[in-house]
Amino acid sequence: MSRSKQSIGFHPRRSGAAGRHRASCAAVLALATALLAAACGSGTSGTASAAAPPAGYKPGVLDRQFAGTTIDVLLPPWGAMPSADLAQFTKQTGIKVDLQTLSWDSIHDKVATSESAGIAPADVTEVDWSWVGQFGAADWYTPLGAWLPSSLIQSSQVSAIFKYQGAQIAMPYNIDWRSSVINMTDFKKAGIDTAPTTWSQLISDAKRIKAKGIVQYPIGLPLSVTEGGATPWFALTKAEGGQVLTSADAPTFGSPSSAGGQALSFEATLYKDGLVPPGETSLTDVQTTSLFESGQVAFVMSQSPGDLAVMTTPSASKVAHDQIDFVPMPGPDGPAKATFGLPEGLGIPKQSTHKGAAAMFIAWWEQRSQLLTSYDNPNMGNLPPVTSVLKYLSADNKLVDGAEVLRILPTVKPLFPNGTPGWYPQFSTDVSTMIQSVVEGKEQVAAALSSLASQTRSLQSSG
Amino acid sequence: MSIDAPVALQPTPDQRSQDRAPRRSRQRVAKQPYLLVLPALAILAVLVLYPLVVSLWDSVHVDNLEIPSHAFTGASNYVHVLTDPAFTTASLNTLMYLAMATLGSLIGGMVIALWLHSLSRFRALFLIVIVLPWAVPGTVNGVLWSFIFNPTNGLLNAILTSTHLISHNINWLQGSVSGQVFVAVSLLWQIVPIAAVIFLAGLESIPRPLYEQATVDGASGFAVFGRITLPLLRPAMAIALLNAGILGISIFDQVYVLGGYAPATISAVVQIYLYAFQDFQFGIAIAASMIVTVATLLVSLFYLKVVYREVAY
Repeated sequence: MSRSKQSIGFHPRRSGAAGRHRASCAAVLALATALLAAACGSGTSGTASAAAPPAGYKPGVLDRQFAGTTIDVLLPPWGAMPSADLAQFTKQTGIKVDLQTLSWDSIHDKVATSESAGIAPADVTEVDWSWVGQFGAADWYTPLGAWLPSSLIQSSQVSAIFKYQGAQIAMPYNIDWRSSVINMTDFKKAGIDTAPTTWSQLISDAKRIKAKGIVQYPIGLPLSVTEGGATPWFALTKAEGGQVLTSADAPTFGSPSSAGGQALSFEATLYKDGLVPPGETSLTDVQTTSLFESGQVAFVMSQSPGDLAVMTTPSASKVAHDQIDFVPMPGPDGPAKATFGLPEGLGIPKQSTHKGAAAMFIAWWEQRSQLLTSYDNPNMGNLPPVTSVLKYLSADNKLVDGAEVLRILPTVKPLFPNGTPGWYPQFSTDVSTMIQSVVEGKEQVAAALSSLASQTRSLQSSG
Repeated sequence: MSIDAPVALQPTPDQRSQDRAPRRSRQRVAKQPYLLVLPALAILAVLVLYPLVVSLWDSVHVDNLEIPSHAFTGASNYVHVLTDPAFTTASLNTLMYLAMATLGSLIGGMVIALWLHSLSRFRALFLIVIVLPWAVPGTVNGVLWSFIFNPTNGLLNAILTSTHLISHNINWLQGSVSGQVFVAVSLLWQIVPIAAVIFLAGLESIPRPLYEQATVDGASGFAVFGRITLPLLRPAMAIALLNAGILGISIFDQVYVLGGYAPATISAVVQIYLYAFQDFQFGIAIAASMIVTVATLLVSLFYLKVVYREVAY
C-alpha cells in the first residue's frame, strides 16, 4: 500500500467518520467545560453581611466596634460632606469613609445595574423618595429598624416617605420641595417691585424683563427628559390645588382643562413665547440652577429651598449679592395652594458587607451638628429633615428666607398619597418626554395628555 | 521492504518511525490538535454560547426584578417590544445612525486613507494623531462633545456668535434630524480613524506595478481609482463598513451622554437599557436585545455578501 498520503492521524478508509467523531467529542467536552465553569461561577458574587446586627451592636451609638472598616458612600454632589467632617467621623469610630459623588440620575442607574448583578453599589447610597417603591419592591435595601434607634427615625417628619410595606428602607437626610426663586434685583431693574403670584403676571413680568434687555430668557424651567424635567409639572399641578393621581393612583390629567392639562399648556406657552432658554430641552434641573447662579435667568419656576444657601454664596454664585427671594410658586389664580415633598435619604443595600459601619455613618450624619453642616456648606445646602433643627436655624437667622421656608413647610404633602409606586421612574420619564414633545411643538396638549393617561393606566395595571 | 528496493518506494524516515510507533501514541497525537483548541472553545462557549442560551431562555419568560414570578410567556416579550412605539422610535433613530455611520466611515475613511497613502513623509506621525480619537472611550467622547454642543455655554455657540455667524445660541441637539446628526458627528469622530486605517492597509497592499501599467496605458486618475483602486479595496471596504455598521447599530455612549432619553435621539440600545434598568423588565430587554442582534447579523451579512469580493493580484 502506498503510504505517500499517509500523515499523522490520517486513515483513508475511516477519515470522514473519525473526523466527525473527534469534532463532536471536542464540542461536547467544550460545552461540558463551559457549563461546569458557569455553574461554579453562578450565584451571588459576594457574601452580604447578616440582616441582623451583630452581638453588642447598639443602634445610634458611635463606638469603635467597627474600627478598621472602610465603607463606600455613594451620593449626589450635594451629599459631599466635607473631608474634615469625614475625618472627624473616622477619628471617632475608626471607620474610614470613601465618599463618591455621581449625578443624581446616574445613581439610580448605578444602583440598578449593580444590584441586578448581585453587587452592592456602595455600603451607603442615596435613596430618593421617588425610588422607594421600585427599590422596595425589588427588596434591595436593608430595613433600618434594627440598625437605627426608633427615636432617630421618628425625629424626622418625612421618615414615613421612606417606608415600604412597613419597613424603613432609608433615613432622610434632607427635606425638599419645590417653590420658585426670583432675582428681585433683575425684576426691579424692569420696574417690577413685587414677585409674580399668578401665571399671567409671571408671563407679563418676564416679557417686560426681556423687552428691556435685562435678561434674554428670564425664566429657568428644565425641559429635558429627566426627573428634573417632570418635577416642575408635578409642582405646577399641585400649585393649582390639583393632584397628579387620584387616591386609587388613577391619572387626573386626561384633559386640557384638568390641573395637569393647564400646567402643561402654561409650560408650552412659556417656551413658545421665548421666555425660557431654548437649550432647556437639553438641560437638567441642576444645570438650570447654574443658569440662575450665573445670571442668565431671573426666575426659576421650580427650585429646591436648599439651593438658596448656594445661590447666596459669593464663591458659588455670580448673583450672590443680588436680592434673591424664595417665593411660593405662582398658580393660575394666585400663589401655590400646595407643593409636594421630595426628600432624599440614606440607605444600606442588602448586599453590603459592612451594614453595622454603614448604619453608624447614617446615625452620625443625622446628628444635629452634621445636619447643620449639611445645610451650611456651600456645596451641599440640604435643608435638615428635622423641624426642631429648622426652627433653630431660623431663630439663629441662619436659614435663608427662613420665615418663608417655615411658612411653606406645612403645605408640603406627598405627591402620591398611597406611597410612591414601583412604576414611578417609568412614569416620570413618560411625563418629561410628553412635556418635551409638547413644548417643541411635536404634539398637541390634548393628544399628549391622553397618551400619557393611557400609558399611566397601562403601567398601573401591569403593577 | 528491503533496503535494495527503489528509493521512491522506500518508506520515509517518518513513515518508518510511525510504523514502529505504538497505536496508543498515534491516538494521543491524533487527539492533540483538538485538545490544544479546547481552551479557546471553552472560553467561547462560556462567553458566547452560555449567555446566548440563558438570554434566549429569559426572553421567553417573565423576568422583572419587582415581580418574583418567572412564568413562561412565549413570544409576548417580543410582541411587546415590536409593538412599543418607544422601541419603534429608537429603531428608526438607530437606522439613521447606521446610515450616517457607514456613509461617514466610507467617505471620511477613504479620504483620509488616500491622503495618508499619498504622503511620503511624516505619515506615521499623522497616523498617530488621526487614530487618537479612536482610543478615547465612548462616554468620554460624549462628554467632550457635550461641552462643544452645550446650548448655553458650548464652544460651538461661542465661536459662531463671536464671529457673528449666528445671532443667538442654538440648541444643536434639539429636533430629531439635527440632534441625530450631531450625535452622529461625535460617533464619526471616533470611528472614522479605524476605517481610515483599514482602507490604508488595503491601499498599501495593492501592487504598484498595476498603477504604473495603468499610467503607461494612459488611464486618467478617476479611471485608475474606479477601475483599479476601488475594486481591489473591496475586502477592506467590507471590513470597514461592517465595523461601522456594528458600531452604528450598537451606539450607546454618545446618545446617552448627549441626548439622554430624549425621543429625538434615543437609540435602540439606550431603549434596551431603559427596559432593563429603569423599568426592571429584563425579559423584555433581552427580547429587544435579540431583535437588535438579529438586525446586526442581517446588516453584517448584507455587507459581506454585497461588498466583499476575493481579490488576487
